[in-house]
Amino acid sequence: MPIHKVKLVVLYKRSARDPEGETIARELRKMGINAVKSVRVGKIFVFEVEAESREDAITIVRDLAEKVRLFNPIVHEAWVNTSCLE
Amino acid sequence: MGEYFMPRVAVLKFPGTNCEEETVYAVREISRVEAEIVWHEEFKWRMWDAVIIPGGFSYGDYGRAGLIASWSRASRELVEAADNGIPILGICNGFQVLVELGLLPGALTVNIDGVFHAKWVKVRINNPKGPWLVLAENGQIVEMPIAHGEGRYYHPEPHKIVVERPWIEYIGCNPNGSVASIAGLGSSSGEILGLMPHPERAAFDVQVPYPHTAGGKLFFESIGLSLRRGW
Amino acid sequence: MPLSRDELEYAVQVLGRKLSVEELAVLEAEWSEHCSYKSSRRLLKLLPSNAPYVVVGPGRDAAAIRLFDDVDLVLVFRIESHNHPSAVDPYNGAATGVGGIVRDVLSLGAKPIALVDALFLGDPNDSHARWLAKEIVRGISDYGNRIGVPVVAGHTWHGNAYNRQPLVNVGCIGIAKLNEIVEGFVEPGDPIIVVGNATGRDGLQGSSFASKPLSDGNEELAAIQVGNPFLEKLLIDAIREAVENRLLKHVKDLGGGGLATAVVETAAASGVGATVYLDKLHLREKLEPVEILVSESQERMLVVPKRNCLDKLIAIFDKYGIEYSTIGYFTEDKLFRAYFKGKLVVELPIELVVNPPEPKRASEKPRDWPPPMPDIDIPLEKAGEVILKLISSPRIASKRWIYEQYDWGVGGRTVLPPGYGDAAVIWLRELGLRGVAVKVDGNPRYTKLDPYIGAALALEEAYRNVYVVGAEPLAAVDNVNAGNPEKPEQYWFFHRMVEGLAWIARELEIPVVGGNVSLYNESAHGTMVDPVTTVMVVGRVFDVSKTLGYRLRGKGVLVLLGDTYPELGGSELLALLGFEGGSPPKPRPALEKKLSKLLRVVAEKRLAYAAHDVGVGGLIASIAEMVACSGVGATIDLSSVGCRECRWFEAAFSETQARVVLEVPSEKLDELKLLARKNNVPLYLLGYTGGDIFEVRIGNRIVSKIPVEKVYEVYEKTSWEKFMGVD
Repeated sequence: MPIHKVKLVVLYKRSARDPEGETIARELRKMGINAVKSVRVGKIFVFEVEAESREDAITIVRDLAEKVRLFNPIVHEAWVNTSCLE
Repeated sequence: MGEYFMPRVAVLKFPGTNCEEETVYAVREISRVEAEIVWHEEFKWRMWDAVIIPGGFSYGDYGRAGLIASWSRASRELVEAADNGIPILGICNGFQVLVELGLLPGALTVNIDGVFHAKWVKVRINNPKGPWLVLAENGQIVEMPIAHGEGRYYHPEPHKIVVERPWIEYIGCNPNGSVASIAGLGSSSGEILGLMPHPERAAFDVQVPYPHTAGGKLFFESIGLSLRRGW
Repeated sequence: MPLSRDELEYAVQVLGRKLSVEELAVLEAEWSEHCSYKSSRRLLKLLPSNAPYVVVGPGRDAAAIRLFDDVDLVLVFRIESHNHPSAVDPYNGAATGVGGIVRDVLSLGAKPIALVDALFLGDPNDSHARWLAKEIVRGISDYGNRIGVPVVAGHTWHGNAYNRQPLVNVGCIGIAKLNEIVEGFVEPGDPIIVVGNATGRDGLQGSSFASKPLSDGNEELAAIQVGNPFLEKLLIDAIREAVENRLLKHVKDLGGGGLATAVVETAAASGVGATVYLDKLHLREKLEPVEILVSESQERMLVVPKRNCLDKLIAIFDKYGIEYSTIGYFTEDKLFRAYFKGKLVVELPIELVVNPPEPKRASEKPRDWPPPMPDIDIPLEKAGEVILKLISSPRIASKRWIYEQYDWGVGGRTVLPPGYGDAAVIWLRELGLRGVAVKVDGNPRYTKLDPYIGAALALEEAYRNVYVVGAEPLAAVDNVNAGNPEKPEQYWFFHRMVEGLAWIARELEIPVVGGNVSLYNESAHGTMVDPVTTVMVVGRVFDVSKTLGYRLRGKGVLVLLGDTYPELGGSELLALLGFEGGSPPKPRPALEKKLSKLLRVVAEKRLAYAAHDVGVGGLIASIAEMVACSGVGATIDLSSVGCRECRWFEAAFSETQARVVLEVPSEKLDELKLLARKNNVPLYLLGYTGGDIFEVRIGNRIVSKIPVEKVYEVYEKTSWEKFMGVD
């Protein structure tokens, strides 16, 4: 079976706060970088998954992320894809 | 009759710095020179004989430890101070700031196990030189506490950078996975020194529970002597 | 949680009209258990809270005592729970619990210098419980470390009852000069300023959420708050700077119940009214007036400057880059009014808001409770095996995986960090060698079997831990964690715990100067978690250089102070054998007081190398802990504990209170014996320290011989691997 790279991105939900992102955005503005309107900070997990298809690989990662709580659905939003980013 | 000027040490405070009070206290009591907490916006290097960037979480360590502090105006002052040979000590978060500023080589990143560790460690002082280590003997072993989540020192060629420089090495256990067990590192002259352990928490005997020893005294005694001698 | 029908009728009757949506929300928040203590107020009055050195007693955000007669430094402290949020989002729930307690201490103007935590966690073998435990610890670590307040001591329990609903109690101590203490008295015309975080929808309905049982669904979504420790740190620095410059007459945390509660409680305490303009508050997003009133967004404080100090105060907020808004002022007329865009949305008498009708709570002892003490026997040959099993119990084994994630040393004041002594000792370097000791304790197995005795023992143990390091215990604060007060069989536990605490506080002469009550700790299915009272005791130290830790030197005599009785009810040994039953050990306040006096002399005259109390797991656990922490061997003789009616396992594992183990330099032994006799404290020679074996004998018969390395491994590695190992 082929190996697929699968990316899981975890961010705080927009309804929750993101102190890290907010602080960075504010400090950037203080430096005069006004084009940046907001920053969100989260985590990226990159998995190498053995699976029949990309879709299967995504399903495996999505399921495990929920099962072992790589994110907490109460405060986080997360998505999975196989885009090129390492 | 000449006037005697007491040397003055600035302990730099960024938003989120949190070890400034005990650091000032240690400088006053042990180095026996003047020390003041200086808010980062008011810091002008020309007013001081030495600078300490104390521990803490400048700007919450958001982004990366030391990152946002390195964007500040005070950091440009620090670079100038370094160019002019002013002794600079970076403790923990201060070490991270010095590395982010490029005043010391390498990078400090998340501990190898991803976990914050606060514990007593033993370190060896190698190739001591410069104002912060004048009283240290080569190979001297001292004890201090560490307390950090991002203290893993990384450099692609660790053994090359320590040839000339003073450096501090974890012995016994390497608590964070640093390359070559690097706990601290100086500039080649030793005027700039950064380290992860906290000397200000091991500067007085009452800070030291049995069976440890007050390994931080050395740094404060050294800078006191150096400044009084007119470093 | 909506108002009950009686409460609503009462409000309508008093007002003589219907309530607006906004008014209803204000009453719902303020009349919740969390804010109003409506089910507990009357009971809590039982607790003695007076002593000549008490500066601020119960009623404000934190209590304050004077530590030494000859200096004007006061200690400010409080303990609080964050149980419900920690069950849903353990990381942020525990983190924001730290934030709240620190702001309470800050409210009196004090500089926060130390934190303690009491965690009641699930079974380490349950994966959900393990996840909760790890995230709770990470939350406290991330928040406490970033604000620069060290976590210096703690208490950790593990039990199945907490698998889904952990209890997270956090205490904070701070220091201030006597004349820095913010008076908390406001006058008509004073402005109302809110400083800190922008208010958002994130904190909606926290308090009423904490006042109902958890459900299985996801509807608590709105109550999750993400902590911002960086902002909290800025608030600490800014408020302290304002206090040092004497700019403030009042500071209050915007905690449970949000803006409305903070404003109303402030006005009530000063006998005035308040008018606020909700549209003037800095917001994070567009909010309805009702949301602005009760949102519990974190890291916000209400401040009232002294006359003519507003400009200086604002300059400090600007320096730290903290947002603020002036939203109204206090008034003469004892009404709480809120306007939104020119429209009056709330007009309530302050008296009504802060005085909900007291609900009738029935109390009924559960039938056939507690289960009887089972008849047990353990053959002597099993001694070694039982000892190893005991020290690997998660309740006894090392908590290093927790406390090494906490920055226990920031501030440079920590004399005795976790893992080195029975209580933390903090150096007050502004007073030379003086210091303060602090510890928190609570045993849910005891409180579940007998809430009266269990709660008493919580205070007694914290008191003991404080005197064992050589400190003089002075005062306590408590956190009662109980079930649903509407159910008589659950309310009984709550009411008995408070009574037991009141009794022991009088016996030990320790004022309970503040506290917190957490009710509704029950699951969606109506099962109560094991109720527990945690108590934090603070004491003073005259010379921190003479503090007694529990690390052995390996060259002394082992001495037991205090008598041993066969008391295995509710013990760790019984639990290991699979039993729950019997009565907890008897409180022994009279002997504790003698020991407390004696230990201070022992520390002062340096008569011991090390000292450790006997608690959960009994004498064997106590000595094994000393052996494991110091890597030094010990040999003890169980027949020497002076309990004739004890069988071997009772001598070894009984949890009799008022006992302390000392490692004494042999040349000091005679002096110690004399001193003990003079103070009427029983003293027994247990054995000696040294070598690399932990050896237990009965007379000449060796019953167990365990290499120190093995003791260390079992004590240190079991929980470390469970929590820190690969999952």
